[in-house]
Amino acid sequence: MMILLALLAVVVVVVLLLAFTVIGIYNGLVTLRNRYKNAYAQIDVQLKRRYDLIPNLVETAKGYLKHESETLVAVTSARATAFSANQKAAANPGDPAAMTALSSAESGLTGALGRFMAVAEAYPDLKANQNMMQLSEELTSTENKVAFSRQAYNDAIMAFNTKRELFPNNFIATMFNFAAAELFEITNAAEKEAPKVSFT
Amino acid sequence: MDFFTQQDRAKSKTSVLIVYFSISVLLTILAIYGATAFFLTHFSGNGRPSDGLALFTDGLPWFDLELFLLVFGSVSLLIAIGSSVMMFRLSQGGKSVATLLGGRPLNPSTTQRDEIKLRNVVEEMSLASGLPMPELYLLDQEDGINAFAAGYTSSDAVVGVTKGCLQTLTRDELQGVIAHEFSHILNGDMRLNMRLACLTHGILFISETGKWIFQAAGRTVTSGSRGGKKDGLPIILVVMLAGGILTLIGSIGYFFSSALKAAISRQREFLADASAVQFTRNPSGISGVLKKIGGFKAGSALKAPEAGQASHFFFSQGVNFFLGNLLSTHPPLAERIRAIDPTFNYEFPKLAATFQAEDTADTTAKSLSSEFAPVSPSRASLVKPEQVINSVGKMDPTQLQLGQLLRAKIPEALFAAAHEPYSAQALLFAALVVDSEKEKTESSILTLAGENLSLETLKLIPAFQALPHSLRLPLIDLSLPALKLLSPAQYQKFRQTIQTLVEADLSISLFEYTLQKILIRHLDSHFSPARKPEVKFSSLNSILEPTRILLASLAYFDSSDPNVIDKVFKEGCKQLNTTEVSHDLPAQEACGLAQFDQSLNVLQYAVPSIKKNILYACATIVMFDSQITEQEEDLLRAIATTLDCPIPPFALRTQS
Repeated sequence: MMILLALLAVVVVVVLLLAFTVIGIYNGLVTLRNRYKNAYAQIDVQLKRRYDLIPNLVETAKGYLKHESETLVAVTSARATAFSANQKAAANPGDPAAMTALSSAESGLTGALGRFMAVAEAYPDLKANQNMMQLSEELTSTENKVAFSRQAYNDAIMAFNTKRELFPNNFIATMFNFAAAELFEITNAAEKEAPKVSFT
Repeated sequence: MDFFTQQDRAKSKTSVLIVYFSISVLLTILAIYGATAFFLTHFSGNGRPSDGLALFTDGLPWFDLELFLLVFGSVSLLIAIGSSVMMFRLSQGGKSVATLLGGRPLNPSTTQRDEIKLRNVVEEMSLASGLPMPELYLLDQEDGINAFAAGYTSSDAVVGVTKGCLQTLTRDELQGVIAHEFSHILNGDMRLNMRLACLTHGILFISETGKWIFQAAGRTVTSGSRGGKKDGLPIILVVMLAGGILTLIGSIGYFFSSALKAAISRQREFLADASAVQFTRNPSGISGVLKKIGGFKAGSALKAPEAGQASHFFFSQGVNFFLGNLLSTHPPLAERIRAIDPTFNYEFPKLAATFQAEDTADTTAKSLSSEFAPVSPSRASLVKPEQVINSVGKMDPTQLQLGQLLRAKIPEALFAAAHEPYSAQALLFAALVVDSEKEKTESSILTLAGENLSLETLKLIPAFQALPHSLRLPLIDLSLPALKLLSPAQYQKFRQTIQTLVEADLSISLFEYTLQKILIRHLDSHFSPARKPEVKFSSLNSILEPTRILLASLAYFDSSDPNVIDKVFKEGCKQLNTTEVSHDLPAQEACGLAQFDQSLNVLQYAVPSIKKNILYACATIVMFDSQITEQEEDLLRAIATTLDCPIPPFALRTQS
C-alpha cells in the first residue's frame, strides 16, 4: 500500500515538474509575443503621423510643382496603399502576409517620397516656403522615429523567433500555435530609380 | 501615520495574513477530510448507505489517522504547489498581474483623447506625490468601471484601468480613482495583495486541477469517440469523476480563500477612499465614481477569467461570490459612499449602457497658473526637516494643484519629446548637455549616437535650458515610461552613451549623479530581470559605518568650514536616535562621491523606520544653514530615489 502511494507521489511530482516547465516556456513565449505586438503599436503611431503629414506636403507643393503632376500623384497613391497595408498589419502584427505587404508598400512610399523631395529641391521658391520647410523637417524627424521604432520591433521579433525555434520550446510553440513572426524591413527603392527632373 | 510607519505596518499585516492563511488551510483540510471520510464510508464495499449518516449520528470513530495524514499531505502539497506556481507567475512584478487580466500597455505617445486624459491625470499625480510614473495598462475587454494597482515596489508599480472607466468617468472622477490607487501604492498595500494572491492561488489550485482534469478527460472522450476507441471509456469516466470531485472539494477552498481576502482587504478600502478624498480635496470625485458604478448596468464587474484571483487588487467589487456581501473583498457601495458623502440617499442614478462622459476640457491647469507660481530658491523660506519627512509619501491637495501647475509649465515641445522613446533619449542627452560644458558634450553625442539623434538633441536644448532647475528631474521622471519601450539592444546603446557622456568631462556633477541614480533604479531594473533582494537590515547597528559616511559626505558638501562641517555632522547623527553611532567626523578622503554612492546602495536595504531616521538626518544636515542650493536638492532627490521614499518636488520650500 505504502509503496503504491510512494510511486504515485513520484509520478505526481514528475508530472507537476513537467507541467511547470511547460507553463514557464508558454509564458515566456506569450511575453515575447506581447512585446513585439506592443512594439508594433509604437511604429503605428509614427507611421500614422507620417501619413498625416504627406497630404499637407502635397498640398503645399502643388502650387509650385504644376508640371510635376506624376510625382505628386505617385506620392498620394503610394501613401494610400501604405495606409491600408498598415491598417491590416495593425490588426495582426507580425503576421507574415500582412508584414510583407506593409514592407513593400512602405518601400514604395519611401521611394515616392524620395523622388518627390528630390524634385522639390529643384524649385528654390518651394524650398524657401516656410510651411514647406517646417513640414519637411517634421517629416525627417518622423522618419527617424519610424526607423527607430522599426528597429525596436525587429529586435522584438528576433527575440521571439529565436526563442520559438529553440529546443524544446519548438514543441510547445507548435502545440499552442505560436506562429513565426515576420520582420518589418524597408528596401530603399529610391536607389534603384533615378529621379526624373525636368528643367523646362 | 506617516509613510514609513505605514510601510512597517504593512509588514505586520503580512504576519496576520500568514496566520489567517494557515487557519484557512487547516479548515480546508478538515473539510476535505470530512468529505473524503464521508464518501469512502458511503461507497466502500463493506458499508451500507446509512453508514455515511452514521458518521454524524454516532460520534467520532471516523477519525482515521492514516487517512487524515494522507489528506493532510496531499492537500498541503497541492496548496504549496499552487502558491509557488503563482509566485512564479507574479515574479515579474505588477505587470504580471496586468497581463494575467488581459491588459494592454498604454502607449505614452498615444493619440486617443481618453487615453491622453488618463495619462495626464496620472502624470499630475505622479509629479505631485514624487512617486515615479507607474506603468499604465488598459483593460479593453472590460465594460465595467474598475481599476487596480499592483506591484512589489514603487519601481515596478502598475496601474490598470478598464475601458468602462475611460468612457464613463469625468476627469475629476478619474482623478479620484487614480488617487485611490496611488494611496494603495503609498500605503504598502500592493505588496500585501501580491502575497495574498499567491497564497489564495494555492487554495484555488485544488479546484483548478480538478477542472483541468475534468476538461482534459472530456476532450479525450469527444476526440476518442470519433475514432471508435470505446475501450478506455470507463477509465476516462472515472478520471472525469475524480476531476469533478476535486473541483467540488476545491470550492470549499474557494470559500475559505474568499473569506481570507475579505478579512484582509475590506478595511483598507475605506482607508484608501479617505486618503483619496484627502488628496484631491474633492469628495465628489470618488463618490461620483461609486454612484456611477451603482447605477451603471455593467457596474464594476469584470469578465476576465482570472479576475477572481485578482479581485482584491481592484477599486470596487469585480467578481461576485454567491454569498455576496459576506465574503466580498470590498465594503458595500452604499456604505462607501455614505462614508464620504453623508447626505447620500441610497439611490443610484441609472446610467445607460452606452453612457459617455462629456469631454471636459483640461482647464484645471490654466485656471491655476494665475493663483500659484513656484517661488524661486532665493525667496522661498525653507520648511523644517520634520515637515520634509511628513511630506514623504503623503498626498496633499496643495501638492496636487502644484503637480498640475508643474505639468502646465513644461513646454509642449519637451513634453512631446518625453513621451516617445526616440526623442526621450534626446531629452536626456539635452539634459546632460545643458548641465555640463556644451561643446565637448555635443560632439560626443554626434559620435556616440549618430547624426539624427544629435540633431534631435540640438533642437531640444534651448527649451531645456529655459526650464527651471526644479522641473528638470521631474520631467526626466515623466520620460521613464517611454524609455522603457526601448528594445534591450537599444537600451544598452543608450545606457552606454549616457555613461560615456557623464564620464567625458572627468568630473561628475550632482545632477549627472542623480540622473544616473534615477536610471539605475527605474530603468536598469526593468531591463535586467533580477529581482531585488528584500530588506536585509532591521537594526541600525549593522549599517552604522555606511550611515556615517553618508551623513559625513553631505556635511562636507554643505560647507567648507571645518567647524561647521563637524557641528552639522553631529547634529545629523543626533537624529539617528541611537547611542551606538560614533559622532566622530570621518576624514574627508573617505567621504567622496564614490563612497557616498556605495553607502547609499547599502542603505537601500534597511527597514522603513531606519530609512526615516536616515532621511531625517540627511534633511537636517542639508537644511542646517537655512539655505538649500540646487545641487543639494538634487542630492536629496538621489537619496530619496534610491531609498524608495517619494518626496514631492516642492516639499522643501514653503509656497507663499
